[in-house]
Amino acid sequence: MALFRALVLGYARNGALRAAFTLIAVAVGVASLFAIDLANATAIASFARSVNVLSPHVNLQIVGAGRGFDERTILRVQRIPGVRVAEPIVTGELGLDERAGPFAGTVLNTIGVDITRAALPPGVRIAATPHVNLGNFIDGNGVLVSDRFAAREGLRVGSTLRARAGGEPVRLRVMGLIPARRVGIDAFVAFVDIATAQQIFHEVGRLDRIDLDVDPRRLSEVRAALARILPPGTQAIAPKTRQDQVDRMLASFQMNLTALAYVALLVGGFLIYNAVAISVVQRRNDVGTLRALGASRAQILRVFLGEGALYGAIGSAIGLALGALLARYAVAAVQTTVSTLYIGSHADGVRFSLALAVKAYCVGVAIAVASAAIPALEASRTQPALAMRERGVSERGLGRLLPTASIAAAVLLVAAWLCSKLPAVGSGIPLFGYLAGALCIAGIAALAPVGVVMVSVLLRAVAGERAVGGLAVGFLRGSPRRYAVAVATLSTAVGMMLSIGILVASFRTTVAQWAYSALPADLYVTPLGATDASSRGGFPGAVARKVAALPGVRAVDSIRGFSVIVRGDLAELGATNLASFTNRRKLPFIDAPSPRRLGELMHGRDAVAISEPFAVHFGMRVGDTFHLDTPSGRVALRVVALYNDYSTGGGTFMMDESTFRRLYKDDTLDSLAIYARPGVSLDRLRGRISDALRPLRARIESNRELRGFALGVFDRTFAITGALYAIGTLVTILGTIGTLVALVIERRREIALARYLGLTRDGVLRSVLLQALAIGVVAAVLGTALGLLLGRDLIFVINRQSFGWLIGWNAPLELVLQSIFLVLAIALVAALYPAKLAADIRTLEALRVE
Amino acid sequence: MNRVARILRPAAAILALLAMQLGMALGAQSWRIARAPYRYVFPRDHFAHDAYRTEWWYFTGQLRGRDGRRYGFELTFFRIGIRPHPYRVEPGASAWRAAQLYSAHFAITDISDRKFFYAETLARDALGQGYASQRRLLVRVNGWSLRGNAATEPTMHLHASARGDSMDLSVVPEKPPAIEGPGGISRKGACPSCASHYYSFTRLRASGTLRVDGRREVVRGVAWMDHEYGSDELSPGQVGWDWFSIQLNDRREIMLYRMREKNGTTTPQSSGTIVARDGRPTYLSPRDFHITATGTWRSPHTHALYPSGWVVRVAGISEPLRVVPVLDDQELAGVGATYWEGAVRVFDARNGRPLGRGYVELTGYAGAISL
Repeated sequence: MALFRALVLGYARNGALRAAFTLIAVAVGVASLFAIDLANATAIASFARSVNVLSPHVNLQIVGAGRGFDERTILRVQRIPGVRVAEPIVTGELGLDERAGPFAGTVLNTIGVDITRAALPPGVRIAATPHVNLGNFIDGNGVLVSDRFAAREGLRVGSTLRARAGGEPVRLRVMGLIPARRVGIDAFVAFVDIATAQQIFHEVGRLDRIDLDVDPRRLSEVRAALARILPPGTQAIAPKTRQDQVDRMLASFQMNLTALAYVALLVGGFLIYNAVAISVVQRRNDVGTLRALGASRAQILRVFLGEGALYGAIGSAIGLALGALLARYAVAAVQTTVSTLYIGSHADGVRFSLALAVKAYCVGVAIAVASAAIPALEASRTQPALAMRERGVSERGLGRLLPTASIAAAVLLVAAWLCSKLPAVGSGIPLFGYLAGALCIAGIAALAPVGVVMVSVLLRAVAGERAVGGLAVGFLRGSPRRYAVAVATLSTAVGMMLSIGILVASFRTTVAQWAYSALPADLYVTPLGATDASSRGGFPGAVARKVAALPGVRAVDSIRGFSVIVRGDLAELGATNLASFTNRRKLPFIDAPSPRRLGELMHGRDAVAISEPFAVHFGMRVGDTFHLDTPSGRVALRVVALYNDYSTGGGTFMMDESTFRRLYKDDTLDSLAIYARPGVSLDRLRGRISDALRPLRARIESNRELRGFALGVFDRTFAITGALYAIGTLVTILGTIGTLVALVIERRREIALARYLGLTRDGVLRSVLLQALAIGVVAAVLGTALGLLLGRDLIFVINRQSFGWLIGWNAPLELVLQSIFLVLAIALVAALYPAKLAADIRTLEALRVE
Repeated sequence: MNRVARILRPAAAILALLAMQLGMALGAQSWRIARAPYRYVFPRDHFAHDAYRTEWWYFTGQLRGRDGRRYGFELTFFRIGIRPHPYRVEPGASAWRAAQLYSAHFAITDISDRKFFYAETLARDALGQGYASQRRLLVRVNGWSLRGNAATEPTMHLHASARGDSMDLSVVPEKPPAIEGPGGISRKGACPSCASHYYSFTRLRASGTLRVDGRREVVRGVAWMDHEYGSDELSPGQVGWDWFSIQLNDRREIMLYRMREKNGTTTPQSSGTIVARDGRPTYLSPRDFHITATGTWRSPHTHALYPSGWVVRVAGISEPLRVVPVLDDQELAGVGATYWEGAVRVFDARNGRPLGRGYVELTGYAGAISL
């Protein structure tokens, strides 16, 4: 301990600023990891609660296709021996804010349960007041809302909740508040009685689902009995099926985010390496003395590892506090993504978790100790006598380094290429994709010493033996390994940022193109309250005919969609009048016959067009056939076309309206796409449609608004990458400052000597900036290469395997130039402080020791 | 025009006022109130009475297995009216809309093993989930049931099962129904509506099977049934009641209830009945009986403090009765209400001689009870 105090603490006091840099870098890394972990955990929690809220005992669910199934099914189900509880459920969404867009805004996920069967999660109960009881809850359209929602909307027990269901106004009486946090339920979940739910969502006589608590010993017996009695189109599934799919999608998304958080942490690790290396360099003398006085190697090793651990411990502690603050922002970002891509779910505030805090802290400390290990080892190898006599030169020659580095780089990059060819592990986890990314980073880092040597050769050729250039060349050639670390840090950071930039740019361009081709109509009409294709409360079928008859309307496409189960997994089914959409090339087809032939193949037939994510997920191609349970029984659907789709994370497939009506006997509509006659004012047409729909309320949007909206959603989704970009830049600057400071300190003698031999203060400044620029140039070249490699990995391997999205490559030149500029700027900005430090070296003082 | 308006406006106001009063009067009359004189008509009055807000069929009893093991049981069916008339079937109305709710409580006291088990179930009058007939003796709540034939003294069948424990019991009256309270009503308080129609089968011969802890037991014993219906029986000041049913070995039975007020006093309308060997009832006023609690029991589940153990003196019964719970913990902490309903043994307080058995019900100790 005394040793530690002497070597580390005393030094830290003197180098307070450097210590602060290192701590901040570690803190930022740990903070982003912690914040993203918290955000991910929160998103899962609210999501898990919205899907399978009711009871942990539910081990079987009966689900229907489309508009649910006959409610009397439950009577037969309840009579099956082994069925302990059968809960009827009708779900829907209540819209609250008319200004809400089709994907966002305030929507209450409303669950209708048989309130008398105590089917509510523990802790959710009807308020016990003289005016509220079970009877008037059922009779008086009672609703249970979360306390947080009530606070937001200014509701109390006894208040009236005004909302819209499928475009129609609904009034419910608040008859109880759910302590959302304690119950562990999403703030935007509400419970009503099943009678109320059936009436407001126009589901009278039907159920969406029956949750079963089945004696586990009789599960197979019950399944067999269910198979005999369930009406066509319904089936019994394990509740896991739903959750599995969601877990998988979330896992992919979260892996992407977590990978980003580790960028910051990785840079933090480089920084610790540097910080400890600096302190080793600076105290070589002291270390030598201590060794001479009898300190063992192990003792020295422990001291410097301890220094790393200390940085890790303090930095991580600050990081946790910072992360807690960042989490709120991260939650919002993650939540936006999760709810827009996957399902209408809402953030319920950050839920702090001790386990995640401990994890982030441990990762921070572990990376710190690991990063300190190399310089600590180096310090422990210090020869007592040698260190006392001379200092500075600690690097061996370049002879072995260059070939080793080149071979390592080649091996790593080839391995990365091989990994990128391997398929996803399990269901959609692109493990090898991530491995390929990691190998790319390592491979490019291995090239750093080669780059340093090349640039020093180049510099010498340009600068000759002139003093400024000479000093810089001397620096670079003197300790290529140390410079290589600086270059690797910088290029890794910039490469990762560039790759994310390329991914976002490519994705955005692709989405924009898709939005353009997928939204060809002039106006889109959706009922108020509906938030996505799977939500309840559509228009009656007659609405389409009514709108089509309006003056100024050229054609109307009606769209119907909901979740179905394909091969035991959820998928989205869409139905529309195919004849018109094939003419107008509504879907961006990848593999399809001519429009006329497609119309012939699909019109009224058991044929579908599938989306690319659907094809990837289910492993299907054009020409394949799959089975679907519908209210008309099991049908074999032939895949006749393939199209691209970015609207949801899951797979979608489309069938012709006539096929749909025949199979599902359902003519409600989720939305209408309206084509105007040329020259008709869209504003006036909007008014006419709105009048014609009364008393139904609808949201009418132009294609421009929707496209803008889609891109808006996209930009919000990727806003978090912007934040990580900024964090990455900050950490990189800190890291580069640290490295350069170490080098300046290490080269104090040479600088002093140069000054003594006549180099001006200005000359020293310029030479440090020149070497920084040299580092920047190498890092720019390597970073750009890394960025392009990682970008391809992200787009063609990782995202394709985890989401099934086909993203077109788009690496805009500005982006590449911007990142090159960024590297050089970072290098130069980071060099300012070390340059000043170098220029301030007092010649005589530095030389006096000689 | 103005003049017409001036005349019409007050007229409209008066009309509105009248309409309001009429509406209120109609509203008040919407549930039928238990009033004297009331003449029971059997078997009709064994069936459901949907015009009253609340109704229950309450079975308690003590049973003995072939090997001598002893059990107490409670099986109660409740009907809670949401509205006095059935729903008019309107187009677009959900079939789950219901005018009645049904609930049932089932408890078994395993006296020999000193264990207590209870369960409850709740259903609405929709899609066959819950049902009580007004034309015959049939009550069903999620598969639990009470069925009886159309006799004045009907043979009744009880069935309940929960989590593997179940009971199938036939009960046969050994005495005619005993009307509780003069004039066909049982008063609970001072207000006009504070009364119910209440009669009991005070001695039922019971036989059937129990399934407890995985054991199947053929059982015999003696049971008690209360059937009670009324609307707005409790007045706001009342917090609950203590109710005693005692079956003496000399084939007489005693029913006592003490309505408790918030301030700790006993409602003057509390009362009781002694049923003679031939079934003739003698009505007791609060002056005719005296109940003294001799101990307390604190529930580990709800932390409610209940009296436990009593000495009961009743005019017309020569012995002072010591009433002892067979088990302290016979509390039902349910979703609807929390109360204590337990099997008791009855001794001569002077010498400890066994005199009979019975059941005690204690409500309102874990928060005020509401019907």
